[in-house]
Amino acid sequence: MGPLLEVKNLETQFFTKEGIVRAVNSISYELNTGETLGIVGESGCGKSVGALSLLRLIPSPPGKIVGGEILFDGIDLLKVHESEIERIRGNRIAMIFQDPMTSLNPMMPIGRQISESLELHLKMNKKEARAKAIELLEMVRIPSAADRIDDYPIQFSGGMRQRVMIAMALSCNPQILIADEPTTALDVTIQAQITDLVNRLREEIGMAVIWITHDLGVVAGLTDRVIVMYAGRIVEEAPVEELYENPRHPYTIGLLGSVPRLDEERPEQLTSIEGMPPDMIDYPSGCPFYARCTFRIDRCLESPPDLRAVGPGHKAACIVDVSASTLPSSVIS
Amino acid sequence: MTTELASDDVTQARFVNVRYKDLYKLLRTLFHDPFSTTAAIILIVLVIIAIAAPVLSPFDPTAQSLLRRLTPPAWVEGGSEANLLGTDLLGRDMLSRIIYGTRMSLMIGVVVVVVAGIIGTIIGMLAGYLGGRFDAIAMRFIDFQTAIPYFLLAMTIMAAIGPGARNLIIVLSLGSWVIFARLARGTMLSIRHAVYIEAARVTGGSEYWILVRHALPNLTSTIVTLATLELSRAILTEAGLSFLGLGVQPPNSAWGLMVAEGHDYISTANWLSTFPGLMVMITTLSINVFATWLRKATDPVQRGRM
Amino acid sequence: MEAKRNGNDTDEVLLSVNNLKVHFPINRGIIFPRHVGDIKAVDGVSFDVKRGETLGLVGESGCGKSTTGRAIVRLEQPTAGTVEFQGIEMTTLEGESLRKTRRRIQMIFQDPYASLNPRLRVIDIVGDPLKVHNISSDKALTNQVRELLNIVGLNPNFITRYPHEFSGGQRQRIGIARALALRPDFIVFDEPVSALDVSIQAQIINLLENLQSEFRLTYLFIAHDLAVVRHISDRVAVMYLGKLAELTDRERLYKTPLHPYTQALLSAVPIPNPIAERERFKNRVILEGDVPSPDNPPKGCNFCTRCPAKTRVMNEKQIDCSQVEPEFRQAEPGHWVACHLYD
Repeated sequence: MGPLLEVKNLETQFFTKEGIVRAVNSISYELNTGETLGIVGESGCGKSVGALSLLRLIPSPPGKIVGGEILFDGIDLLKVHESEIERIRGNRIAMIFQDPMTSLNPMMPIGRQISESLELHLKMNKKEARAKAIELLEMVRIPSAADRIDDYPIQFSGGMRQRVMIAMALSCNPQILIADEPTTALDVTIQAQITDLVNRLREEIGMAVIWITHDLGVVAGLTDRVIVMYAGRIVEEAPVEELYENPRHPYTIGLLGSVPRLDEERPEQLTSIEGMPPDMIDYPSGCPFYARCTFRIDRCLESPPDLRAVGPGHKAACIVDVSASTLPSSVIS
Repeated sequence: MTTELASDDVTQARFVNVRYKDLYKLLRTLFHDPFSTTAAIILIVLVIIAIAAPVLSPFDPTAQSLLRRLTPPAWVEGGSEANLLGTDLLGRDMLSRIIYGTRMSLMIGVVVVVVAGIIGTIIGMLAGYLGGRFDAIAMRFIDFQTAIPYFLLAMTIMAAIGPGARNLIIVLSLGSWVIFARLARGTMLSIRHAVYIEAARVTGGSEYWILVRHALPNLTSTIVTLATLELSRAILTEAGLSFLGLGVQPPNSAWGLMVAEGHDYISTANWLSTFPGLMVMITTLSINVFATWLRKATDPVQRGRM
Repeated sequence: MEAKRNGNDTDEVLLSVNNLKVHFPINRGIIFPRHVGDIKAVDGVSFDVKRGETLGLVGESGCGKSTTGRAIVRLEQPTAGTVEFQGIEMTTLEGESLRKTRRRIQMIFQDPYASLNPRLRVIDIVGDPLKVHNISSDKALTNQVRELLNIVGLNPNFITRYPHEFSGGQRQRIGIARALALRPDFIVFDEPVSALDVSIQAQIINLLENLQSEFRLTYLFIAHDLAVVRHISDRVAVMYLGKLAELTDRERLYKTPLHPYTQALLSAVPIPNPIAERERFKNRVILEGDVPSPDNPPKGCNFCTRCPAKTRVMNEKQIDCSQVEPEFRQAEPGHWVACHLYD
């Protein structure tokens, strides 16, 4: 059996007054059944746009998916009719976002918001749907769910709202859950509750999860495989242990050195990555990380490096053979 | 020491240059858009006409010549080269009267906007910044006044205190300051708790400094835009009141008054009302187009996008 | 003992906060507002900051950590308590004397987009404090601002640009330059890096550390990110629902936290190490529920509604946490904690 989801050379651009913003530049990856994939990167790296593109949720204009294929269960999501993608959205592929308030209707009780989609997608009657809604709220561990089903979103705390969102996302037993920074706005103790919840639900339901975040810590405990994005490109992809133990792209190495961490002795100075990400309109012709890279050589300017295998299941987009321990010297032919 | 001084002077010089460059950039954005350019040129011409009225007008605008009454414009049959836009029913030169009318209308409009703008902005800023009782009293008064239709209020007061340019300015300012006050207050409220205001306070800025340095520049863009819109409204209202005989009085000329004078002859001598009417329209339209550009141009964030 | 980084060999107390309270009144009714209660944002907080050190103040959103910082710089008026800065009582200062003292205490804000006036150029933003305090002549100002930009790692030629032409990290540097302009002794940082990307965050943290040793600055560093606070602080205070839960040296707090809340907080922080993180996942203390509302805090210990050690206290000490409020006391020298376990 092939992968559940296969993204091939996906390219998304925004056509603005200032010029074409190259948000996602030919990314390819696979997602297997039941797997949790982490997509890590800083703001503007294209991680969210890439995920929204999967469900064709890019606001158009100005956004446009200009190329690539997204194969889900053998069909290309970029080619199917709008009505077909609507059936898949929320039903077989669900999504949760950073701010639950943007996806919850503030004027409707949360129970109604869940049961409505159940009636629509699963053709339940009102009574069944309500019972199922309570069940879902209990599943995401909302205390006294039966009493709170008629409450409005404003009556819930941020963490509770995110639970409601998860309940809604899970209502139709999706095969894939895309989580776009779902814990970024939450406190760390609440974040722990949510990550713990998603982890347990994933095992119970057996769905695949794409977890998009800027937080290297969250990804470490939650995912099987990690993709690191920079300036709209995938710069590294590896099984999670491998990525943290043996990062092979200068950006990943820099990123791991940038975060202060609780599990190690405090370093005298953090190894920051100097400079800033490139302009996504005036996109560099060579390696997009060149300007900030400590391993750079002249050849990096020739063309953007392709992902190449550097180990089992481990790919990096760098023509220099780097690792956290090597000095910037050895170049592969 | 000398080199340090020299480099300092260089920076100063560059600093001044940058200000000119800003102006240059501003003008370039203006010429980028044909509509704004046209509007700006029309407005400049109108101002020149207003200022240089005595030089530009071919005749005394009040000089009557009953023999030449109701002469049509030069390009119409029966028209004469001497009176380019024809004459009115007392034989006064239409062109001269329109030129003086421009002077009167613009003068009234500008004075009203300056008076109302200053009073309204100060009261509104203080209400928004101080809050509390001052704000409550000022706002109730403003609410009360806005509940009465502007034109009706102006008509009533004009009828009571009598017509004339000076009274017109008083009445129009009275009607206009509340708009400025409301806007200034609203903007102040939104920036009163802005983090950069707090930052200014932490660095030891006095309340006066904060108001003038931080609050006022954030008001200018909206206030200047409002001022231009209010200018066109003042000109329109002035024309309306003058049309009704409550504004500028003959023998002075104003556009509204001229339209009124001509409206009995609209079927036989349409130029009497057409030209002053056109002037009102062109002026207010140009001001509105210009105001849109101005709003964007005075905002550094928006300016970058133009 | 670990060597102090910033040479704060003296134990001189620069700032002393004593029983600080900031309550915000809740008023109901539009026409006849009546006082129906208080949001007790800060409710009796005491700590000292020593010259040259960095005191970290951590807690979750709504715990009152920002309000504490804002009360110190007098952006909020304290309801009760004292804030003493080098012998000057800050809470009662008014007018000119307040403005004079403010020169020496500065603040850096969280949102680098909102903290800079969009209408002013960099030279005005950074130079204004100098003008306000009549420190600089117009002529010298340009050079001083250029120098300040240089210190914070920005191109000095940027002085005529507007804030929107800069990235988040660069804007935060401008904010830092503005604070440094007055040569302060003490800077309050309110979540200075939480709006920034990880790689930029590290740049700013390194900058703050360098500035501290270069100018002998004293920091109060308020943040929710425990890893960042650990990196930058000499001592750390943990705040919960308007009160301090624990306060001690950095190493002690992170290695042997005493308060159940600190323990839960530390175990909730994900660490970038998959193998260790999986282990931690299994043993994680996950706090139930949400933080109670500060307008109606629980009786007794304010953490009792979520505390995993509540029954232990009952069994070992025969104290009902929901009735008796624990005192904030030294459990061992230099280690303060507010928990009945250590009574």
